[in-house]
This record gives sequence, C-alpha cells and structure tokens, in this order.
Amino acid sequence: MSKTFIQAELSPELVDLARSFVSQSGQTDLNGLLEEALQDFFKHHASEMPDGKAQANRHEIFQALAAQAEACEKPGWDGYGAEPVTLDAYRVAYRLVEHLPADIPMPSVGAEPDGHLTLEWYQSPSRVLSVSVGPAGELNYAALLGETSRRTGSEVFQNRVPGDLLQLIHQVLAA
Amino acid sequence: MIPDIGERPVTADEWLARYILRREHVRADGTLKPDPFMPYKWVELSVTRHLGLEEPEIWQAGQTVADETGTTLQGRADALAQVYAKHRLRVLPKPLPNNLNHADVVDWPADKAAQKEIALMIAREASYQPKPVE
Repeated sequence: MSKTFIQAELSPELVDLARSFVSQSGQTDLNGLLEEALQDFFKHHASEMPDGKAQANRHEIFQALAAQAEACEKPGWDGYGAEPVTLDAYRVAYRLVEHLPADIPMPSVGAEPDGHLTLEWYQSPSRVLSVSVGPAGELNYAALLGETSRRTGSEVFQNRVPGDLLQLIHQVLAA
Repeated sequence: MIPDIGERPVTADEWLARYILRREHVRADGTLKPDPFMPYKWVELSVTRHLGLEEPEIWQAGQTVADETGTTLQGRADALAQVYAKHRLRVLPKPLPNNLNHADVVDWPADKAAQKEIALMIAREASYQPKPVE
C-alpha cells in the first residue's frame, strides 16, 4: 500500500517514532509493520471496545480508501484520460469517513475521472447514494430513492458530515 | 464493420458499449456503479456503437482501449442509445482511427451533482457484461 497515503494520516512525531523503531528492529517495511499492528489490534481487541466492530469496519474503509487512491494516482487510470486522485482528495475522504457516526454502515469506495473519490451507500440500483469527494472539500452527491424519487446536492466539507447527507444515508438504507 | 458508420446518426434502438477498465466500478452483485458513466474532461462520455460489429469485434475495441492505456479490460456496460436520450443527452458519431464505431455522449449539465444523478440512472439501466474468459 502507498507510503504516502498511509503516512498522511499519522502525525510527523508518530511517523518518526515508528521509523526509529523500524530502524532498530532491522525491518525495512514501515507501512507493512504499521498495517500489521493495526490489523492485529482490531483482530484481538475489537470485541472489547464499546464500538469495536464499528471501528474495525471504519479501519477497513480507511484501507480501501488508501488502496483506491494508490490505484488511481496516475493520470489515465480509467483508460479514458482520468485525472489522478490526489493526496488532498484522499485526506478529505478520510476525514469524512472519520466523522461518520458509529451507527452508520460504512460505504464502498470508488473514484471518478476528475480525480474525486466516491463513497457509495447502496441497497439496490434504485436505492443508492453516491458522494463525490474533491480535494478542496467539495462534496457533490446524488441519490435514487426508489423508481421516481431523486435528490442531489453540493456542500463543502467542514469537519462535520452535513446533516442533509446523514439524512439521505438513513433514507437510502431504510427498508 | 460498416465503413461509413461515422456518417450515420445514432438511432434510439442502437446498443452502445462503455468499456469498464476498473474492477471496483462493478458492485459485488454485478450491477454498475455510476462512476464509469461520469463525463470527463470535455463533458463527454466515450462509447462504442455495436452497429455492424460482431461480438468479438466489440470486445476487440475495448481491448484496444485497455492496451493503449496500460489498463485491464474488465467488461463492458451495454445500454440502448435511448437510455442516454431519455436524460436529454445526445450521442454523436465520432470515429477514431482505431475505432470507427466510437461515439461521444454530449450535452451533459455542467453541475456535477446533476451529472451524478444522470450517471446513477444510466447505471441502473445498463447491463454489465464481464469480459469472456479466453
């Protein structure tokens, strides 16, 4: 997994500390070691935490975001001249997922040709919400709520999930 | 193959293929995400007309896209031209040297959220064909 995308979410002090530990331990793969430690933690301790399962799910989405951003970091990744997904777009998407309430199921992750990452909450092709996340915090979304009902909107992410978006997620996932 | 296909307007009952070159553009249940139907960068969407092509030729056009861009052809999203027309989009023939059946879907709204809404509806009506195993 991309060093850049994983380390982007760690403080510089923590990265230095980890690097120092990795150096002393004789290992060379900092990201591999960090990822292994996180996976081990969630595997053994998720059930002991009050919202352990939610945290484990969130960790999976963080991994998926990093993998998606890495897979789309070069121009033309879609075969049709797409823009690369930037570190800024990844950071905004990461923060958005981080701010999702624990009771909300985690979305699936994707990317669009303008380099925006996408988060999708899906129940069926007619009950689905897709959110585009841009590098400057732009959130553009559209939802299908049945055969005829639809919603669209645009907001800027400001370290909280917009209320309209939360309401739409609940609507899409309602039985 | 029809040599002068570029001069023939696209009709509502024509099938159009959008090649899928990313596995994550297809959901686990085989339905399509809206992401591959988002227009870019001149607010156009590239498609290939089935008209006059045998099945292997339709796949070959997709394989050419993949080969030229260093990507992997996963499959294709097929939809009738009327699916695009229903959303006030036009499909214009735009032959390329290596794909005479190429066409552009144009007249997308400039607003990104509106584009996403249309992409969701096209994805709902398109059917995904995975690349045949050789």
